[in-house]
Amino acid sequence: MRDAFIAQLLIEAKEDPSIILITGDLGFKVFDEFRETLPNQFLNAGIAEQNMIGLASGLAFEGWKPVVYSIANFPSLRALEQIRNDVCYHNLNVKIVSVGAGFSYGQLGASHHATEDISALRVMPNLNVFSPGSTFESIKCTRFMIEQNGPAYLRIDRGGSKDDSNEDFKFGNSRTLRKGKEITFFTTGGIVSEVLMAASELDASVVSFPTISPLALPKINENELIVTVEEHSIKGGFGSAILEAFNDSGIRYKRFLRIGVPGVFSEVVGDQDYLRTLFKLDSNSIIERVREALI
Amino acid sequence: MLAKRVRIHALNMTSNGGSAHLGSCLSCAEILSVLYRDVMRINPKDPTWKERDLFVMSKGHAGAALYATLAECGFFSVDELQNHYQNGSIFSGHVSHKGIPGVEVSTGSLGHGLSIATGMALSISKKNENRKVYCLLSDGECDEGMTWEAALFAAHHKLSNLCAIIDYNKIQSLGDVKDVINLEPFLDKWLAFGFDVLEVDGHSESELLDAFNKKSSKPKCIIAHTIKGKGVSFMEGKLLWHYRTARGEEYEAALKELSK
Repeated sequence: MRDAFIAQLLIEAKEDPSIILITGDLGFKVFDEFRETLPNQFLNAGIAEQNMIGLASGLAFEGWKPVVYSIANFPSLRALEQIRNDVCYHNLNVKIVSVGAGFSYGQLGASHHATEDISALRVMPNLNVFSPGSTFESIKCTRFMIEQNGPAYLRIDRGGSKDDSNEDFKFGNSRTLRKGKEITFFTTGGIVSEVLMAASELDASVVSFPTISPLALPKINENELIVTVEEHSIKGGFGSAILEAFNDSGIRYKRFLRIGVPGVFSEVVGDQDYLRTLFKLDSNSIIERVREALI
Repeated sequence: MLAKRVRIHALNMTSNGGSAHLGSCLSCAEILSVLYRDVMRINPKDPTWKERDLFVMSKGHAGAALYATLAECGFFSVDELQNHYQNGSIFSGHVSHKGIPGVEVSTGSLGHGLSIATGMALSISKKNENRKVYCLLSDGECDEGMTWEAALFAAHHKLSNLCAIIDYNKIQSLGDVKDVINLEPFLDKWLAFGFDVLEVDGHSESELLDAFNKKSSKPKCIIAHTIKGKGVSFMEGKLLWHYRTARGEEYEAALKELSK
């Protein structure tokens, strides 16, 4: 997903000279083409994320469209108040990109597990929050992020599955990836690949949400089991956002299951697949948990 | 003179609104006056004029002083200053840009301003524009790491169009700066970070003007030695007036001294 984002950003930046890519000294080799092609639209701000968001705001005041890049929690939680006061309060055209959603950097340790950023950022006024689940969604979200005026946060997996769709989905839309019976999964981000495998076994529907804020709800059948799956804390995250939206829209449901990281730190490290399995987010665990819920 | 009127407005605004930070407003009156009257290219009739210089009030708690300066310079009517701190008013205690002509940036959480000013200065430099960016910081907010992140960046990129001014009134929230987190040797720190540093009497308009006018090929830092509560004998150098609102006899006595 990261490479799809950078490739798309280069396309956007060639057309729009106000786009400036700012990195917090991360992205070894991945920006080489961008930097060589558009040297005046590339900046390394050093390892200072708070300043990076502040100076991106200053650039945005003067008409630039800064795309600020770092990994894991560094461009989000490390600079949370700068995002709130400087970017969102002034409704500036600053786009914040974090690579390493969930357990993408699993072996690197808890500091690099991005499992609370959705909770922290989805509540920010004016901020669009994008969480694509595939290379296709990543490209589309990069486009939406640039197209839409104002602040944005883009959360992407380092890797992520391919998706050869050419669906013409619009900004804010969710995507129905699979039609099934009696069970509907709502999911966001790269974990969609596990959800699709589970859904195939369970003959369930799958709706992917590349945009978490604003959140557009699809129609549901009141008698279905609704299952939210996220590679993120279930406290205040995507599932919570769906519950809030159901409540506020008066949508009735009979059964609702939230699957995610249960609001704890991982005591061990491991690759993304390992930690997904440890926290019961892999397809087999999802199937098991859904079957338990159906009993 | 402008600084005197700014002080009287700040006293009236904080007394009328029941707000704090009068001491911080009184210490920066000359700095704001010299900037807005003599230094910055601005157009109060066209606050977003493309060729204007930019000002970021990083010490947002002295918002009353900035609002007073802007009103006196014609950005809006001085009558509006009486709305400061009132229910339903846009004139917040800390600086807000929303609906207030002439305010570029909202502040209030310390340490943010210099980074934003640095971004503005970088933009101006990249576009080869002939404009300057001024950022007023408090001494206390130099405790914030973000200030020094910005200083590193500005010096590295040789942003000679950036000027930081420190209102060094020597008192922060809970005590004297030297006792809370000592900043000294302060000049050496800014020098070591790559700034052109000037020390002035922050209540001398001529010294301030000379410092602003000095040409530099680096970002500039003007350390303005000031007195918290300047202009009111019983407020000068007193921590109490970081918080206290002048009322009754205190208000009358302060007004008398400031009106001299």
